[in-house]
Amino acid sequence: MLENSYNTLLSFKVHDEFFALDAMRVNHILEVPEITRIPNTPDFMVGVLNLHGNIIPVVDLRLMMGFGNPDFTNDTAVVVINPEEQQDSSLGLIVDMVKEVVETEGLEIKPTVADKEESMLRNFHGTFSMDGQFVHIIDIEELVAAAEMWS
Amino acid sequence: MIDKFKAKFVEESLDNVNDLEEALFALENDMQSKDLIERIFRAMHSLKGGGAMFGFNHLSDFTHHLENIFDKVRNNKLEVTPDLISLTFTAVDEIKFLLQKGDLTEKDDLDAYRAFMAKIQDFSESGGNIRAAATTAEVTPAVAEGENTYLISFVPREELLQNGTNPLFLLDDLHALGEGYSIVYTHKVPSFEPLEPESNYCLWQILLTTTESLNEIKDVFIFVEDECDLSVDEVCNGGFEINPDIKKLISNARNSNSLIKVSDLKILLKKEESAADEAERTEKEDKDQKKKKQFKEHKISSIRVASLKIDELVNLVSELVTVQAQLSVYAEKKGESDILALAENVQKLSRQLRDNAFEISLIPMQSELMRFQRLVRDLSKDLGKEIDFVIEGGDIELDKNIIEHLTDPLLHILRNSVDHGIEMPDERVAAGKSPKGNIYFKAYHAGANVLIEVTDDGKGINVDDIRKKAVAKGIIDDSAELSDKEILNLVFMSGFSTRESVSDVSGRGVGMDVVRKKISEIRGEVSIASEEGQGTTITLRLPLTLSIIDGLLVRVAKNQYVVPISSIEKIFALTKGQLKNSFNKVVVIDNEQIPYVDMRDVFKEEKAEVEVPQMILVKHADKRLGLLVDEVLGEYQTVVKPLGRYLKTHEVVSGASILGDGTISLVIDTNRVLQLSSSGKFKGKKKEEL
Repeated sequence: MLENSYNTLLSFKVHDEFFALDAMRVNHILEVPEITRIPNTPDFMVGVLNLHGNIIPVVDLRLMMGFGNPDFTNDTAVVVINPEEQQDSSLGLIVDMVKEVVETEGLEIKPTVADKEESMLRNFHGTFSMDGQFVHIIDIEELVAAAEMWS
Repeated sequence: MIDKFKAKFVEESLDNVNDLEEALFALENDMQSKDLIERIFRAMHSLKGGGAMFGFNHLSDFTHHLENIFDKVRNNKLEVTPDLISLTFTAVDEIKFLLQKGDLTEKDDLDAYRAFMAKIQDFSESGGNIRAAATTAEVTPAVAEGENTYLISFVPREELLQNGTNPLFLLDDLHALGEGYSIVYTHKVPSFEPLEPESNYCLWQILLTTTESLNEIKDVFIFVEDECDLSVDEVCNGGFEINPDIKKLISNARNSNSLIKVSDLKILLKKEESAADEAERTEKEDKDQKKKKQFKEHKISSIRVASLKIDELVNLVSELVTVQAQLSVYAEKKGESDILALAENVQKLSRQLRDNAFEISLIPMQSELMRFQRLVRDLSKDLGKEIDFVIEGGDIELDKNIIEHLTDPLLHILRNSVDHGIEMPDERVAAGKSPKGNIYFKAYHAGANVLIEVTDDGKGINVDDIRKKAVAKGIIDDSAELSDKEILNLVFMSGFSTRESVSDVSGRGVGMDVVRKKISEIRGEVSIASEEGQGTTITLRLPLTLSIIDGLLVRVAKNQYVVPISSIEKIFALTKGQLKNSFNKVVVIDNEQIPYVDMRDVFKEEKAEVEVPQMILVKHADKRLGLLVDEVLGEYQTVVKPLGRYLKTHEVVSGASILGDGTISLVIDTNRVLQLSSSGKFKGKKKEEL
């Protein structure tokens, strides 16, 4: 899974761990706007937001990763990804802090040791070390599948 | 770059193929039509030319041979036969395949292609020989196109010869125009004494069959116009024959020293050419003319736009409508008359623009109907059934997104009708029906909906069979008391298929349950009616457009929701007492018992005492249900946006709309609420909570 085509990653903080995903799939990074809750959906499905007239569903990545009871701070952000270049696949992700864009060239990416039982995401593309922190690369397809699976 | 052109070519070619298919269908009914053959030939020709230009060499070769056949047909060297039409139909499929694949590379494909090609070449040669012998005999007596017979009465004055005109040359000229028969009258020639050698005493009448126009004939006499009385009258279409009747007419005229009257001649000639012929002819000409006209107008009045662009336009307009709503809210808040007036104007314009844009995204169903026709034709041939497929209302327009979603369910419904509905010819005769089965496809407007009915006159559905099957499959309980209508509706339940064996035709894993699911995805409904022995009707009720609705804005707990007004029957304000006294979630309004659900239950919100709860009475088919909401906020015209794939399967929310202040409100799918409530889902919840 390491020979992926991306060469830039966006890294962000979820709870106190760092994750990253293919920066080319990221369309927007927003401060947390008003989110309309949708009844009868699981907790991690936070609701929908209005992005330039388009309705974007938002999931809380912290809940999906199995970190409980998240607060919203000044650093909390919504990362809007477009996994399949189709309007209807856009998805907003709530993260605790967006960190930076990382070039993969020269990075030493090792297989991830997944250890969190409660997380809905188990397959990572790999882990690299940055500024003394481990950063796990999220498999966007798994993420999308997990967000879709609730119903 | 070239890929872009190629894509364009494929797109245009598919149009050509469609046209080809359409013409083939028409040709099947009218095998003599020159126009249709011409049209087919043209379509093939453009496919061939384009194919060569854009590197679709196989396509080009293939159509070249096909074109050869039709060239022969065009030149009367080959006859249109059912075989030819069938061959061409399969050839159309190959063309589609070639368009999709480009030049073939795989061996299997190539082999099939070559075999087909050989077949076509064979056909073009062998078919040609048979016809060649037959035509020569047949073609000669046939009337050549555009030939008419005229009676020309040429009565020169006596001075004619004095300016050097030789009337015989004029007659020669006339004969050069076509087949002629001259009658000379010499009764004016005086006896020898007073005869002036420089005067002309003869007059002529000429029967002339020619393709030239009346004016062309008159032009022959252009230099002698002043020296003669000339009349040219059309007496009949086609040629003439000098039969005894006409000879008699001529000699009578000569004896009585007068000329043949046009009217007499016409009567005689008409006898030869039966009146019916004439009528048919003019009718056909009318039709031809109409067709030509339609074709022309069609060409001028439409342009081709990529559907993506239209989507974009509709999206932009939707956004504009949203912004305009914000403007209106702002203007009202400010209360300045200038801004209010402006906002009003913007509102008016954007409404018009919106209506226009949505109209653009509507397309007639015609394009898809071809596929249905093809399906019915091919399938009935395969199964050995005879079926007349009649389409009505093919010009009804629907949102293209709806049409896209409609094709598969309709194909399935038609497949069912052909496979299960219509019986074999001998069964039909035994049942006292005509051996030919009928399937009617009818589309029409009904209010804000479009209805599509597919009716067959086949064997219908046996209600008892359905019931037994449903019991066997555990869909219903043996003791369940159901009306016939309810039993029929069981076919829409998942896991239901009435045929024991899954045939090749229907039951490719798509049952009626999938039809219903697909139709409800585009906010449509499907219903079924059937009488055993008489046939089955399946009705689809579809919205005109997916993206805009008139909605009622309501509040439930803290959230705002939109309820489509089209589904609302009435709105009531209730008193607290009415609800408290309600038993088993039924309120009495106007002496009618109406079941209701509390939307707070539906959305799992906390219970709360509301001062004046509002009840929205929604209706679907024959079911009614009250929805209890906290407050009705007002009417709202709104653009419905999809929720995206992650929320597509939500049970009661079918979309979202953006309010004037930019916040989102969810659109409640009242049909779903009705369904869920009648299946006891919300009531069950209630009990748990208690």
